[in-house]
Amino acid sequence: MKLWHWIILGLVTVASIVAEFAGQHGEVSHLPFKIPLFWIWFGAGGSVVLILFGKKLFGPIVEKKEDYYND
Amino acid sequence: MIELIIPPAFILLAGALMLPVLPQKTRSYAFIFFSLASLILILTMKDGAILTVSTMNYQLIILKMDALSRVFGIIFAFIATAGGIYSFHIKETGQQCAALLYAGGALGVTFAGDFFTLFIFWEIMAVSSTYLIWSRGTSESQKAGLRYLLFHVLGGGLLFAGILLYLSGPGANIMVTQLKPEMGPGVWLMLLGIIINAAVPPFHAWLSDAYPEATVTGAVFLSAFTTKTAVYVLARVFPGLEILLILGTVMTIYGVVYALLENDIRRILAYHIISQVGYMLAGVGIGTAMAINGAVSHAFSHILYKALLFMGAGVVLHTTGKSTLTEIGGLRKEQPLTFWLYMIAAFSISGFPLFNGFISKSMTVAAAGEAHHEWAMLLMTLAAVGTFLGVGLKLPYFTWLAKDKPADLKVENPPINMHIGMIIVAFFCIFHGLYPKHLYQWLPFPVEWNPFTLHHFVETVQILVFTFIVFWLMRGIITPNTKIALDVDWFYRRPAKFTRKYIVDPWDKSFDVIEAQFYKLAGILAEFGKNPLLIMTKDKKGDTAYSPDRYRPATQTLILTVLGLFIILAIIGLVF
Repeated sequence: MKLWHWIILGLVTVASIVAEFAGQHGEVSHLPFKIPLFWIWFGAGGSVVLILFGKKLFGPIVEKKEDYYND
Repeated sequence: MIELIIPPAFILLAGALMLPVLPQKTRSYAFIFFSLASLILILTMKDGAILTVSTMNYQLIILKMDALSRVFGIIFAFIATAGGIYSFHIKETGQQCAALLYAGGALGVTFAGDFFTLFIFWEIMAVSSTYLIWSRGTSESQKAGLRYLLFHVLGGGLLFAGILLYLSGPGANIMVTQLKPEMGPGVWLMLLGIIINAAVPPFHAWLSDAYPEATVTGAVFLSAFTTKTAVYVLARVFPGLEILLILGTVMTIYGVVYALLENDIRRILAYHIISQVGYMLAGVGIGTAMAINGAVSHAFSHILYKALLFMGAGVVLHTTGKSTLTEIGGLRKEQPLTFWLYMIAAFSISGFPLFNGFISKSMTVAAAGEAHHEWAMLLMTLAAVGTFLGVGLKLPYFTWLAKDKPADLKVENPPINMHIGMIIVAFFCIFHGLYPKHLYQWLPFPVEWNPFTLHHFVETVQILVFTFIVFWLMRGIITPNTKIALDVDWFYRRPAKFTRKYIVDPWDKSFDVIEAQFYKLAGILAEFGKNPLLIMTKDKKGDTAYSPDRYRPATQTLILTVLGLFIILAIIGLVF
């Protein structure tokens, strides 16, 4: 990742936050989604949970060597 | 004006029959011609068109056209056509025939108006799709294909048993119509048979087991038909069945978690089929007009982008001979077009704005919220995060971007038709993302959903950006390894080893011993039958000192026997 990649991501995020606060009042009806920046937390938190659960908790239980069914 | 009513499935079935007798050079053209003809027929046929056949006291409805069957028919016929272009270079007639039969089976199920017709085409799909797995010709594909077939035999058996049981009840008829589980055990059996084809956990392992073992082009067809015909039948027969919402939501998460663990690129995509079908089942389970529209439109979008994903993965396998992330990497320089076409599908399945997943998946998720199933809404959105992680980031990053290409990895150029097929499908992934009305016009209910709202854009952009950032920071953890992830197929694959060792093999051996003894006995009897006297002429060592003159019965013995018989008869006559 180069610096300008991060700058673009930052600009897109800022633009989305501005849009969230500027233009969507009354459009959201469900309680959790009224939390400010909810989808940012959800995207980041959801990714962390899925990766850690999948690779660190679930993976060690179900992962076996490649020839498991053939040995 | 007289309207010609031909079931679209019949065109493909006729094509499958004609293909072997056509000159080999024309078969790939014929494949596309038959697929395209069925697509045109579906697009031009009027709603309400019906064709019935009377047989065995039943009125079979082999064609019934309405909005729901039309939209599925369109996408099935379209993907058969695009798949025909992608597989244009294939010269193996068996594979081409199987693909046409498979697509014909899918169209047959879609337009079937009665359960018997539906079941017949259901089974045609099972058999022909198995051939697409076996055609790869590897040991693994043979085994996985057999497991796939056994699963579908089970599913088909349950479906047929359910149909018969249901029809034996009062007031039942063979028309494909909405059913409820309260109508009896037959309906439950039918539901079970259908959800096996929909790959609902724990009946899903046939999919992640077999699809990655199929041929390069076969996997494209497999990704489109079996699970989506099951979704169609569920939408037709069981709309609003709440258990489907629960099962579907579980599927969305289940598939993405397993995909994060997998190393084989086509197995990653296979697990994401399970996840994506989960959205469709959830939509069917919610059962509102918006949810059914969401399920149907997502099935349509999914068939497009999933076929494109499998096409991209297929190009990698075709050109390198490898399909595991640990064996490939850094392929972008060699395959820029394949990479970007794949990424169009990856953006689509991840729900990027202006791609077709954005305008279809969101309808199902929103329908869950509208029906006050917030838990389902959140879990499905979490699954969308996992989808972007798995298909949008992990797979392309470790295939085309991360690390340098392994030095010993040779990359061939794919046939141009593979890219042409991909470009056509990619076009519609973008086109529907930009102009969703083209898809919405075919949905079974009027569409009131507008995907292009500020809220929807903000939500999507924030989720995608922060999913990407987390992926980048944690990519070391997500790096693939050579291990496999055990799934519920462990319950029949692992015991199979011990069943073979302790039951099947001893039984086989004892059978061999008994068989050998019977052959030995038969040999002795045959020898004895030639001349029973021989048995008395063998010495202790078993050698036979046989001489025809020496052991021929003496003439006097015969005369004496006859004479004795006459004397006995004379005495009997005198006495009595």
